[in-house]
Formats: sequence, structure tokens, C-alpha cells
Amino acid sequence: MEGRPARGNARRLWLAGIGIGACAVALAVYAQLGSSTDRMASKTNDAPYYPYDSSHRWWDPGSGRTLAAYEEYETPNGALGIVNTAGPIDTRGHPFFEPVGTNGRACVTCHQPSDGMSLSVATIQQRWRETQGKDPLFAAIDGKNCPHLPQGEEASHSLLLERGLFRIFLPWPPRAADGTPIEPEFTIEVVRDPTGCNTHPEYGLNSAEPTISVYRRPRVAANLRYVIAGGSLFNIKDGSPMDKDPETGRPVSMQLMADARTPTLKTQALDAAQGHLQIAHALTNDQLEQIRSFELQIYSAMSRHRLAGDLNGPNTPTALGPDAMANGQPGLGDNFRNPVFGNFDAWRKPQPGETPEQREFRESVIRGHDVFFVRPFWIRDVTHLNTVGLGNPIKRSCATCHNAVLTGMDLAPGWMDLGTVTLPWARVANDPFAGERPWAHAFDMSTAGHGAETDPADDRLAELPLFKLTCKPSAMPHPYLGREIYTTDPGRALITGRCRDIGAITIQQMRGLAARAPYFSNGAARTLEELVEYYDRRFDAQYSEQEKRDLVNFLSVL
Amino acid sequence: MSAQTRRFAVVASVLIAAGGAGEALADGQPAPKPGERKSFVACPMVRNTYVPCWLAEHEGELYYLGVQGDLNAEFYPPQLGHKALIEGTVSDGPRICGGIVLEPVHVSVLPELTPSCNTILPDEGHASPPYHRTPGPSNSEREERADRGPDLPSRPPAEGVTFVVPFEFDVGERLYSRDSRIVTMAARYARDVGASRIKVTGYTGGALLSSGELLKERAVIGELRARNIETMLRHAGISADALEVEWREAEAPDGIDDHLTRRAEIVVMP
Repeated sequence: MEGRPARGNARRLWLAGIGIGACAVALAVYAQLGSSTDRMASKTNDAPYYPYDSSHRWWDPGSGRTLAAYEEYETPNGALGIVNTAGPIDTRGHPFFEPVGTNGRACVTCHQPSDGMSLSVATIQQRWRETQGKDPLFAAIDGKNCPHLPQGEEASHSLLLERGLFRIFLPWPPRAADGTPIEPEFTIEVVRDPTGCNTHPEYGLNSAEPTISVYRRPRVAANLRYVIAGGSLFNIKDGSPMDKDPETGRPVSMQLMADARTPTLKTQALDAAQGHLQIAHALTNDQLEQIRSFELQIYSAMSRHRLAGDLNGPNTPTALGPDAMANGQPGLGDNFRNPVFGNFDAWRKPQPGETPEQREFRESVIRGHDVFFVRPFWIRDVTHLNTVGLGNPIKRSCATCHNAVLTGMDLAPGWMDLGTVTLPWARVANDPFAGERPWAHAFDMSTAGHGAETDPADDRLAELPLFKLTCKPSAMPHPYLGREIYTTDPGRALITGRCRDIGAITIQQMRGLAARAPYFSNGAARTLEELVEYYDRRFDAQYSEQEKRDLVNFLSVL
Repeated sequence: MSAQTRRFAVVASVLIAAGGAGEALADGQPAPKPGERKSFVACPMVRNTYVPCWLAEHEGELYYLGVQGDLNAEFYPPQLGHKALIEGTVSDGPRICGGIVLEPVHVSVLPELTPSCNTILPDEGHASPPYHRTPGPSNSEREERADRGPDLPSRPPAEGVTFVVPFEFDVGERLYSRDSRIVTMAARYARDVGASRIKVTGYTGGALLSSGELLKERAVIGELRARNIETMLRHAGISADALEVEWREAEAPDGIDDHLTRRAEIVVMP
């Protein structure tokens, strides 16, 4: 077993500031841990470390535990670190941790520290086993494929159990911030409804309150100082007015949520409390402020890798580890003066005491970073990227879109139709382009749609609803999919009603990935390998096997 | 443009002096002459040079449009999957990427899909054209965005100060960032000078092609442009009471600077 990671500035500052009492709290938390791994970790570190077999790995709502200034959680290949820059928090009474709604959930239910403040499907499955499906996590409102299905049966919760997806239910047609309906540019037909929710008389599109249900992964409630940074008057990508903070009137980054439907952390908390927590009364402003403050003091990233060693603290690449997140500044990367993920100079030369295995892995990570940063390929048919004036296709690298320092998000509003939720690219099984060059094929959406509808072997796609969206003649069509689009999630278009926003999903941050599989908003990539394979297929990047492995290794240490 | 009205367009127009004798093409078409204006609709093509260059074919001749850049570049490339309206002037300079250079050139992506526009040409030994950005990340300090604009009078003259917002062909809503910055500039100016009235006019324009065909925008486009600019100005803090919004047909396209017919105007009055 390796020693504890060297911890960086954020934690040292806390230790200097809080004194003995708080240290005692942290030690008390640590003392609750019982496994042998715990005890070994305690030899070199007093910060809580939660291995897989720790009974305290899962944060129950209302547990009243203390969140330490620095905590670590075991992951398949190492550990994830959580930095809490405000020092230890007594979570008793804290609205992020208390079950403030009616269904027993808290924010922390779906934003678990062990999973980088998101929720992995492995954790969801473990919770199902431990509680026989009775945890509030599996609440009928959205922890089930549709509320009308039998509670507690695995099949009713299959999207959550197998893909980590929660039901997101949105009004149709969409409503503006003031509640007035938006006239959409397209019509929606339900082509396939495996969950029964979109055709259900109470919950569906033809119900008294027409609602569309899509299924998405919970996003990361950490590193949010970066996510909310920026904001201009108009969207740099299409000139549309940017949303404003209702309290300050200032434009916001529009990077929260897969569809950017809420402008601020407070409005997001309000929205989540009403939907996911089924709160009876709206959160008070004090509670909202507590949640906002908390979310801005939490940072997560991988802190240790079994092959690479320590990722946090001195003598590690500048962008790795949660301390780098806590100490960094948001901004636009994408050049050599301020690269998105810093520099890897600390690993470029062999280090004293480094094992051959460690050297080999670190070199692979560096190569993966370089592939991410400079290896060009044709980026094509991505709305809100190829449409913004850069041309279609554009020969660039991953860092073109993943350009925000330390998070790898897009600094401009990051919703794009990458194809993960729109046909034909959303296909996973029975890929019609498998082994071929996709550019050799003209799109035929009618064929693509019918193929998905009737192909029983297309299991992973068939788990999700399929919608046919038809753009009205008066509207501009989707730039790359035309006027008839088949999608499992219309994405941003469910908020704006615009054809050009169909399938557009906000880019996720790239930190702590190894702790929170699966990936993409619909959980389509079960592993980092599948994630890289998707990009290789989608963009015909023609990565070599070595490049794919290097990319995976790079992603695994972020 | 009126001598009394100050107008500001982002894209500079630089006419290249005409010169050089043309030759006949293989199919009998006369070779394009330097200084000749070309206006045509075609599938754009991209050449797989180190930094890709963009081309289009018209009447058997290949034309060079520009090179891939970024949002600070003057040239915004077209899109595969779409036809493009290309309006430019034949240059007397050497070919680039195998194409006769059109300069200045205005390229407008047509909204409807054309899947057959799908050609990526091999580099065929052509070198990358001049570029300021590689396919990878920028290797220099990000250029200062030119959003400060020209010097504006501290007080608008009686006829107002006009800001011209260009649009792509048949597009009423979407604006490139360089063009939405003109709206920001106009709003800022209106606030700074305490403008009493701001007049927004959306125009429905078109293009007279070299073939003699007249390409018209949809009639509703002028209104869409006007409404869009109105929304943007209000978002920028301009009071609805100060806004006067109208739309109309632009002057008839004549094959010369027809891109300017596809516009909206913001006139900031004193």
C-alpha cells in the first residue's frame, strides 16, 4: 500500500486556521472507520479516508456527520480527494445534507463526496443491495423510470440501476422565466416509450399538464466556482441573450445543468428541491445561501492513482489533484501559456524512487494529455461549435471544445449536439458505421429512425424513449440533422423551443471521472474506454490503440 | 451609403486592383478576370492541408475562399452539409490551395441541409495558406478583441449614428459573435450619449448571381431581424420606450456588395 498523498495548500491553510478542536472532530470521524485499510491509512494521515468497505462511505441525509476539510475516498484505481476550503462543517441542519423535502432525500443523496459530488452507477447498485431498494434515492418521482411503475421492483428502476439516470420532467411547451409559454419551432412525437412515461395519461405529453420525460446523469456539485465563472451579454455562439442572475441582473455563465435551464446555484437549488426532493415549501433565502456557499467551497479531483502515485500536492503535474482545483483560477485555456490542464513537467523526467511501472504509466498520461491538447482531427457536424463561424468541419483537437482551465468544460455556454442523444450517432449497439468511415455516408434520418425503432438488438438505445421532432417550415432547421430529428433527449431545445438547440447538452466538467462512471448525460459510455471509443467513432479520429489507452489513462487521473 | 450617415460594418472591404489577362478554360468558359465580381451558390470544399483551406467550384474553376482560423479571423469558413452563397472579387494574386483567390469574399451558409456537399479534398501537395492559428491550441497571446469599434462622436449628429449588423442569407435570428458585438457597441453608445430614440430597421435583401438569377430572402426575414435586434437591445438595457422598430425590403441587389442588403440597422439618435 502506498503512503498517504501529500496534501497541498488548501488543507494546510485549514490546519493553520482551525486549531485543535476541529482536528479532534476529524479524528473522531476517522475513528469510526473500521477496515484494515483505514488503519493503515491512519499511520500517515489524520484525514478521513473511506475505502469501499467503510460503512461511512455513503452520506445518509440528516446523518449529522462532520465533513472534514479534506477527505479521501477509494476508487477503482486509487482515490478521489474532496477539499472543503471552509474547514470542517457540522452538517446538522445544513440544507445540503438535511432531508428538507418530503421524500427523505437531501442534495447529498445524489451528490456524494465518494463519487466526486455526483453519483456512480456502482454506488447506486450498492445502495440498492444494501437497502433492498428502499433508500430515498429510489424515490418514485424520478428514481424510477416513471412514477406509475411498481415501486421497489428492479425493472421499474432500470435506468437508474443500469445507467445512473434520473427522470427529468419538463413542461411542454417550454415556459420562459416569467412563466409564459414559448412557441416552439418544432413538434414532438413519441416514437418509442419504453418507460411508459411520455405516453402516460398522468405524466405524459398528452396529460393535463403536458410533460416530457428525459433521463440524465446527475452533474458534479463541486468545482462550481469554475462552472459559474464568466458570462457575457450575448451568447458568443449564436448571439442569443444570455440569462441573467435574477438577484443581480448580471449575465451568468449558463453552464449549470445539462440544458442550462437554471441561471444560478440558488435557482438550481430551488429547482432541485421542488423536483428531486419534493419539498413542500420553497427553501428560504438563508438555506439557499448556505447551499450556494457550500457548493463554492467544495472541490474534487482524483488524488491518487495506484500506478501514477500521488496526484495531489508538490511534485505532481500542476493541474492534478483537488488542491489544484481549490487554488486555481477559472479562465480560458487553449494556448501554451495557460493550458487547460496545466503542465506535466513534474513527470516528464524520471523521478527518484519511481518504479518502472510508475514511469510507464506517467509517460502514458503525458502522451494522453498531448493527444487531448494538440492531436488534430476533423470535428464535424456539432451544433454550437461548427456553427459559430469556425467552419464545418474544423481541424482541431479535444481542447477546442474542452477549453476551460482545470475543468475541461467550454468557457462559452457549452451546450452542443455532439450526437450522444441524437440519431444516427446515438446508436451504441449495431452501429451502422462500425468499421467504416462515417463520412462516406450521407445522413438518412428516416432510415436511422426506423432502424432504431425496429432493431431489437439495439438494446442500450432501446432503453430510452425516442422522439421524432419536426421543425416547422417557418423555422431554421437543425444545422446538421435537418427538419426531422430522432432523439432520445432534445436537450437544450426543451428549454428554448429552438430547432438549432435540439440534442444540445452542456459539456460536463472532466474532474473526478474515474469515481463517477458512467459518462455522457445519458450514461451511454460505461467506461472511459467506451467514452474514448465514442469520440473515435463520432469524429473518425482514427486514434491508434496506444493513443486510446493514453487518453484513458490521462482521463483517469483528472 | 449616405454621406450624412455614419455607418460601421465589421468586415472591411478592400478591393484588389484589377490586372492580368484571363485565359479560356477547358470547357470554353472564359477565364475569370482580376477585378471581376463573382456571385454564385455552390457546395464548399475543404482541403486537408495542415491548416485547412476552403474552396468552391464555379463554372469549372476552383476558387479559394479562405483558411480555417478562429473567431478573431476576418474569414469565417462555410460548412459542409450546406451550400453557400459566395460573393467575391477575383484577385490577381497567385492561386492558393489550387484556387483563384476571391478577395474580398463574403460567404453565407444557406440554412437548409444539402448532404451531397461533402467534399474533403486531399492536400495534393498544396501548402497551408497563410494562417494565424494552427490546428492545435493557439501559440500566442489571444488577440485583443476588436470590439471597441471606431471612434464615435460624443454626441450623435441630428441624423443619428448608424450601426450596420450583417446577417447570413435568409437568417433572421442567429448572429456571429463579431456581429452581436456591434449590437453591444450600439447599446453602449446609446447609453453613453443618453440617446432619446433608437431606430431599428430590419431589411429583407438578396443577391444577384453572376448567372443573372436573383436570389431573394424570405419576406419575413426583415421582421425577424428587426425583432431580434430589438430583443438584444432591450436585453442590453435599452428601454422599450426608446425603441422604434420597423422592417422593409432592402435596395434591389445589383451584384455589388449585395451582402449589405442582408442586414439590420440601428440608428442612435441624439
